[in-house]
Amino acid sequence: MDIEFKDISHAIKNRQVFCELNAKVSSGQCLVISGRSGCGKTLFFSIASDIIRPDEGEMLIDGVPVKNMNAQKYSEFRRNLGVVFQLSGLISNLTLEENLMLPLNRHHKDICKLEKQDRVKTIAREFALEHYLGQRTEQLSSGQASLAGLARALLLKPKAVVWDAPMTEIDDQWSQYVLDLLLCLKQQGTTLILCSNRKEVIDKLADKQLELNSKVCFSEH
Amino acid sequence: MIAYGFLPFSAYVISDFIFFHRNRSISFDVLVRQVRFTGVEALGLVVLIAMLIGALIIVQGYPLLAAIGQGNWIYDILISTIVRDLGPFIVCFIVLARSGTAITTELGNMVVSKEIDALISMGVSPISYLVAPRVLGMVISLILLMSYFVAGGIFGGYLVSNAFQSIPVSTFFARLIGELHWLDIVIMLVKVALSGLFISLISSYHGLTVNRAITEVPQRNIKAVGRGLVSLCLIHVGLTLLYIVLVGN
Repeated sequence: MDIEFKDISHAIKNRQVFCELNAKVSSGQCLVISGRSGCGKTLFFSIASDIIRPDEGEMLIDGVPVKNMNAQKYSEFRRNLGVVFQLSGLISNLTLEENLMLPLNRHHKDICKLEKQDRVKTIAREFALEHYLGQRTEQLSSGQASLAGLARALLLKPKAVVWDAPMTEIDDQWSQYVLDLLLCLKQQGTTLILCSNRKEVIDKLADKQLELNSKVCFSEH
Repeated sequence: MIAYGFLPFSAYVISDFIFFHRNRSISFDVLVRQVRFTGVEALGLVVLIAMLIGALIIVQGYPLLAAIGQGNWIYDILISTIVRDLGPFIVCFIVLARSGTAITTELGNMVVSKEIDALISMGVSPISYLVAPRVLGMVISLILLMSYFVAGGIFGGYLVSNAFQSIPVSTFFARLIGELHWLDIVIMLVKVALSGLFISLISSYHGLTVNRAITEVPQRNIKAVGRGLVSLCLIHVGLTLLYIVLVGN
């Protein structure tokens, strides 16, 4: 999935955060957004995951502006975009299994419940969460919740993954596993957009890096 | 949709729950939870209050009416208080205080913890998943609660009326049903259904208008309860006036 940000400008309460920002990331590439705290990484994440529409400019998916997509195309875009939040974004009044079921229930109404449960168990096992499936997500540790958020995003085998502050809550051992997993996904053609300052993320995964500062600049490795 | 204000939000929610069956794969569980929380778990509280009010009406009213030789008016009073006017208002008020605040708090906390953003990112509409089933659940629950209230209130009234005058159950209920007008039932149902709709819409709207801080949640709750109460009063007064016009007394 090719993702392009074209002339993005956005202000929050009279403060211009982005001004005619341009970036493009193609299938199998990783764009890392970095910069000091408060520079707009999370805002960029919200725009990249189409939670916020920018004041000006547009995001294009395979050359098609997201804002011009019809309902069917938009649903397809949502299915192909895995979004991982800094604070996991798990629904707190649901169990882990119900959380993981949500994207399946939304996008795969045709699949029977048993098959969905099977898929959920498989992905939960991959992140050592299979024993927590019946528990409410508020009972998970922050590291487990982060992994669960990643599991939910990867459940539908997305063509692109957008992740805000990856690996911040995850221990070293799991961080290494997740980095390898992201590298593997990238090699399989998944587009990655990661908002992170972590050196290992930039060194291991970044094909392009967008450094957000007071003056926005764009550099490629 | 929230940014456009309460009326467009309400119109969107109503159009969404008309097509509820389309989203039932994700919304049905939320509907069941809402009915269980509002319509079933409040059962004890509502029945207790209903029995006490039913008993109180008889204790206060029967001696007065009997003294002027109009003991039979007690059935009229039971119907107007339990079925038509006071009963629906009390039930709606209990639901506003108990479930309306719960909805505002829950949705407000979900906004702050980015759970709403997470739903949007999965392509799940927060209106279809969170609001429409709550609105539908609230309307169903209020009709259920109102039926418990009527049963409880009349039963409480019957128990206490036996202390003053021994009346067989069949006679008590035959006289009560004889005084009951079909319009009493219709007005009661319309009152609770409309109140359920407004309580859930107002509570959901104020929950979703929380921006970023957890401290906004109680402020939104206060606004939701205030506006919910005003809308309850308007609905109940308006429908009571309509009843008076239609019945002609």
